[in-house]
Amino acid sequence: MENLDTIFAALSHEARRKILARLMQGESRLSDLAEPFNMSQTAVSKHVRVLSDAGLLVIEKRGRSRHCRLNAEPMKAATDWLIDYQAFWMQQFDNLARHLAKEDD
Amino acid sequence: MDFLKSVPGDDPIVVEGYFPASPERVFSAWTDPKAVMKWFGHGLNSLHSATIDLRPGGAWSFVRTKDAEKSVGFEGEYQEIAPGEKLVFSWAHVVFQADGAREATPYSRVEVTFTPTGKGTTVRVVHSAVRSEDARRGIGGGWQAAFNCLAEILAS
Repeated sequence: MENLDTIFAALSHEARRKILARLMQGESRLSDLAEPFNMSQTAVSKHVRVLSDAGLLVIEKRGRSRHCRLNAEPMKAATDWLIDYQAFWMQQFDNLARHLAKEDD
Repeated sequence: MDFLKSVPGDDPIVVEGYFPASPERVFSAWTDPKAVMKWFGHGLNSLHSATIDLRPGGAWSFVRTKDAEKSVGFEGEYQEIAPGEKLVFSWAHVVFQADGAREATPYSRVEVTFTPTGKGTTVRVVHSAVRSEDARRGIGGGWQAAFNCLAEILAS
């Protein structure tokens, strides 16, 4: 829990979420990550480091290349705190309507 | 952290709807723990537990999920109770770890009004004072957009 702020900060950048979404499909070489995002290798490396510091991805060195893969565990901690209250209350209203209709039966 | 600027931290969240039931019945759905258990949360019958001490200053707690590691839910205190008309309570989002550690957002305020409308009731929820601290923790409107890919990642 102590690194929740780090996780949220890491997830707060669109490029980093895109990198995570890309890694969702499977691991990738660090050098291959930049291409689809139209980013410089330096920029991608910086984002990857932020994600890795937050524990959201793991970098493995194999020979001369570095491979990145997703580590979803910290995100599960983050989701405990994720609520869009507008959507939340709308769902509550929907639930309540269904509940009241059921009682009528 | 540019996105924080777009978080509507101080704006109240307002949701209103009509229910074909009397204000008394709808009010009871909000204040009887057995009824709350049936509808509040992810879907019908999704809550783990609900406790309600329905008096000014009385505590309420709705637990959404509980496992060996932690329980996640909401809690607060009743501030105003007018049966069949109005309910005001403080609100916090809470995570309890199994080791006893508790982490919670600051309290925000939820006001629920029940207005007779035709044969039914209009219910209006005004959730206000959802502070930037909540937003920082990922709670509140602005954040959801920032997490479009997260649900997908977790689902896969």
